[in-house]
Amino acid sequence: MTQSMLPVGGPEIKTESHQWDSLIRSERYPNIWCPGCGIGIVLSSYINAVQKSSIPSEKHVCICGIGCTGRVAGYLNLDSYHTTHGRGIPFATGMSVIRPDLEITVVAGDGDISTIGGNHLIHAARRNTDLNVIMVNNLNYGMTGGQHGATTPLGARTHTSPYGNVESPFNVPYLVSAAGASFVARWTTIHVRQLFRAIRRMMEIEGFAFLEVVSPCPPTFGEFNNYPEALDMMKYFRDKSVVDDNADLRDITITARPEDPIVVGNFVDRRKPSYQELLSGLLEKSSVKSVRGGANQ
Amino acid sequence: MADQVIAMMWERLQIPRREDIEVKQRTVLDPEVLASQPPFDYSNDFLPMPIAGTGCRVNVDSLTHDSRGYPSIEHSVSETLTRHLVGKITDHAREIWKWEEFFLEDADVAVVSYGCSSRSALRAVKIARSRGIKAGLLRLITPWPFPDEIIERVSSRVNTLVVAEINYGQLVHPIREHSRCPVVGANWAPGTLIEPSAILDALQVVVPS
Repeated sequence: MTQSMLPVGGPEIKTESHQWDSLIRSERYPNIWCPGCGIGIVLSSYINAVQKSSIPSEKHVCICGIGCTGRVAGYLNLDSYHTTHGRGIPFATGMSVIRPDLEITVVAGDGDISTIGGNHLIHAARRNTDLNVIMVNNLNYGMTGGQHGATTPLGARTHTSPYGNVESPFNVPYLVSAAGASFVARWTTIHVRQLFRAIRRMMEIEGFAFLEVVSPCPPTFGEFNNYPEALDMMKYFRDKSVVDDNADLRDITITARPEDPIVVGNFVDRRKPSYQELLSGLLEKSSVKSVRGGANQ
Repeated sequence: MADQVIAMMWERLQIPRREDIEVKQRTVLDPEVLASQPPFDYSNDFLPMPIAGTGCRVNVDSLTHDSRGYPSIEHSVSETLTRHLVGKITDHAREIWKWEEFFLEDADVAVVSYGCSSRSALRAVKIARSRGIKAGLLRLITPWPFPDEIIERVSSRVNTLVVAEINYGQLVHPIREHSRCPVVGANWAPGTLIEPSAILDALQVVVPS
């Protein structure tokens, strides 16, 4: 990035260039995210993985839905698609079926992909569709002002659950694993190296690869749930994360209570045929000629 | 029209062979031109499409967006984009409209129908003809962009339009807006395909035999 950056309380830092310049639309900065938001960390981890990937960057496609995380697409200097609310996965499914040469990653918020688009999520996992899906989970609908959703912990307070949420949240890694995904992981925004490694692994996998990234949302979730300052939830992630790749996924529901652990890890990594592989096999068996190919075929 | 009955189809569907279908390729965006011009030039109705994986690196956005593809809440950006999206349909309405006419040459009354009600309407018109009512049928294959000129032309030649719909009146309103003659509805809501008798009843009311 070539523009000036002003960290709060610190000196002005000027840089002439950055190793990720070619992958960022720097003219669009500063971004829309609030101070303390974790989405920038997810964006950085994804860019890092794209850059280190053996696949050329022009073959990487980022597809987003609507919401704070939905804005990731617009900051990336890739082929990017900012689709409608909850529909990143069906859009990506269509593209991946017809263009298997592309490395497609869906980056979406929890409200977008597990609530509004929850059915697309479970059925893509059931089919083992060859996609990478990164779900940034800030435990509420942040962009619209802090409403509770399908990932808001039981008892948590939001603007629409001021006396405590009476709905049990989705345990999304358990859900996606049970549905049939090839790869399932959860990390938080403090696990920068693990995020990078998980995303790189997802890019290698033929099948549905899902990563939940638990992220702070200071103004709309943290403020009402014991984490009022931007760093409070990061400290919670640091102090209470338990890495357990072999965790019983039934027991890893996020409570976000300061005394409770948050279980993270690369929980599932298994080889099974992807939807695209099965479809390709069907096409070869049938008399129908392949529909796959380049843009104009 | 994507009627619900299409999904429940029990009749044969014949799909033409690929070589019998005329395919018009969409113009493709050349990544080289992006150095000198933005990807979305809204002064042109038909924009070249950025194809993923060819090096375009274009942001395709579902939100109101500017010529670079970036989301924007500027009034002028929204106005330009909305005009473009609507205009590329409405400005080409005459090329898009499709319709069919049956027995309209000497008709006193015309049934207007669209979608799956058209078959019932044609049956009703034929029965009406056998009973001495000079009925015809205008089948709208394109309900939007609304074929106002076709409604104006047909309604100038008949005394009444009967709009057959499987609801309590939707397209009857723009038809009434553009009709040169009185318009009545033949409405139906038992949850099944409209019976020809319902349309026939309406025809017999407006043209007593």
